[in-house]
Amino acid sequence: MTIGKLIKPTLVLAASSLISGAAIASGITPQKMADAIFSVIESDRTVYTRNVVDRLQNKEEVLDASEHWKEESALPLPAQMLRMGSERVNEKDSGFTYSLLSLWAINKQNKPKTPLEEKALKIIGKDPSKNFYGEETLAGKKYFTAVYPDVAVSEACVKCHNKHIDSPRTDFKLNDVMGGIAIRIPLED
Amino acid sequence: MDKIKIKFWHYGIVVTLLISAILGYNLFKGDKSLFLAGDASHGHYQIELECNSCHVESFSNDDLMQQACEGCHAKELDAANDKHPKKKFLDPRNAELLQQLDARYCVTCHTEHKPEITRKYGVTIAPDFCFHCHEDIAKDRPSHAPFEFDSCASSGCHNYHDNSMLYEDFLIRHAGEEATFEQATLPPRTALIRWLKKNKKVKPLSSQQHDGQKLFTTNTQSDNKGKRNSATNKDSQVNSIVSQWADSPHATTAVNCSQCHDDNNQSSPHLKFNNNQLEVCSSCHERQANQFVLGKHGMRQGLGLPLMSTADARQGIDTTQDKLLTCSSCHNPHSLDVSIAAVESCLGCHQDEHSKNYKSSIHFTLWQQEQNEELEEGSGVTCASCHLPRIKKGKRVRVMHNQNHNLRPNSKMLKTVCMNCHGVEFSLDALADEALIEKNFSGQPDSDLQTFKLIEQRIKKRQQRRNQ
Repeated sequence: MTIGKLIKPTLVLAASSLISGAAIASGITPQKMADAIFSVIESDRTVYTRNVVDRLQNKEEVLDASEHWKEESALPLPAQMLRMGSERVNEKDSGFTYSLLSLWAINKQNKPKTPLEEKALKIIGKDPSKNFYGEETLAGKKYFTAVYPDVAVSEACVKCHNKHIDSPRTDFKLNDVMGGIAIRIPLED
Repeated sequence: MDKIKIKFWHYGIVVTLLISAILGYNLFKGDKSLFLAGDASHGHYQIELECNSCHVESFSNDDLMQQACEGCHAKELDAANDKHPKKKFLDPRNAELLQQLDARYCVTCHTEHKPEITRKYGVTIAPDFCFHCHEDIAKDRPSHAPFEFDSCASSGCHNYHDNSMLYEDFLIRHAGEEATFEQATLPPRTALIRWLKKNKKVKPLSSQQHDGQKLFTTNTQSDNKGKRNSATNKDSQVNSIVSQWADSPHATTAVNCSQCHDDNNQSSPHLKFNNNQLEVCSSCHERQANQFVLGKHGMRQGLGLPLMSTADARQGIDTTQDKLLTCSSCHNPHSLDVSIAAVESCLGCHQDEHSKNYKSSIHFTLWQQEQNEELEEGSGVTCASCHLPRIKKGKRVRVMHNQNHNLRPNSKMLKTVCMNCHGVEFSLDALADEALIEKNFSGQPDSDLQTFKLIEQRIKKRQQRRNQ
């Protein structure tokens, strides 16, 4: 798949979420596309965490959020919500993929798997003011990969990660970098 | 005229044409059985002659076959919160894992027509398949270091797809429960009560109010052609059907003969929809019909094939009398006596060891005591209690009509069946004890499941973490 083919669906996303009404210059770079996608993911997740989970579970105390939300008739955790969205995007073959990663992942499948993921998480962990951009080859296919710092946006994030039995780190504070969101765009067919 | 010399190649052509004709007839007009690559698995053999239901078209590719698998199984997997759905493996960060085991396709692990290597749940790959991706599990869970990779999915701890009853929070919540509860009953069904509450103005019908008069005339004319049936015989037949109906939930809910029968249909049993029973019943019992066609009893009908018959059954079925499977095979449509549907209907066909041992089990004794009104309703355990379980959602309790639903894996029985009366540890041990299952649960579970030993460790670790 060429970049040209990828840009088409992305324009729709970018237009609706970021620069609606503005004229879109041709030739959007993979980095701009990744930045736009991240902005949507990050906003949706923050809204869900604050206005749904934090409100219903911690403030109004009417519904719990649980890892086993389906079995327990509860709200999905924000991290699960993000992953469910990412799996839906995978299914649609949307021209990009994204995942939630951490050096201190509770679910070990979310630990870094590629050398670039490992390097990126270390760098953004030290300096969350900058995103990480790079290229990598996975199973013979070249990707543009952007990794954005994932910051603890509410007390709920901190509390759950510090108390979870499988959490390898227990000293998170509000606004700490807990991990990163990786967005991958294939650069060739 | 010269005599035509028949040469060897002439025979060759004749034999080739003959074979082609036989194969062609079998493929296009016959049952396609000559084209079966090998017996299909226990889950698919009933529909194995309907090649297109899986292969979609000749020489279809993996993606088309995958669509066929998902067409029947996707909903159930989604409802069970499948732990390894295809969508998880589409992320390029898993691309290398897929080179080991292509988890995007069902056929990677479930190859059909390979009876010699097919195991439980139709699995055809080596039992240590978890190794491919979870090789370093002992690093994260040192407690798992002693276990072999072929024991992950056979030890009562994990399933590849459905862990809906095996997650830690659930097991921890129920750990330490007694083997059998003092108050041990199944939840009462709510469908009729809820219907009557909603339809207070509907008055039940009495035996005099049936509208099948014309039907009975048609019935005797066409059914008893050439026979000399006395008027008394006919009357007693009519009276018996009418009185069964008058005592049934159909009369209670004002469902009259004409709701199912069609006076104008001349062929017995004079049903609507050209005697398609499933269609008649599903006009009111849609949910049950939809579930029925997903199980082994109804899957042929679901694909528009002829009804499943006992003669075609493979395992532990009484094949001496050929019975067809549809709604009335279990439910007498006039009496609707569910106590018959719950035991005798099943045992009329199922003659495997587990079924034959039911009547010597404590579950059956309890059922007899309930029938004799010595015990309260819901105390007895029938075939249906486990295989057509009463599923509680909110205030509703409905009967699941796909009798295979909770058998793959059988840990699905925990919440909706076993744990109405038994503690989780006892239940899980029993479900993992195949010899006990064959004895129909006469005796105590003999199992060395590690699940709860590990759960105890996890409970301790959780407490330590909380106190940190």
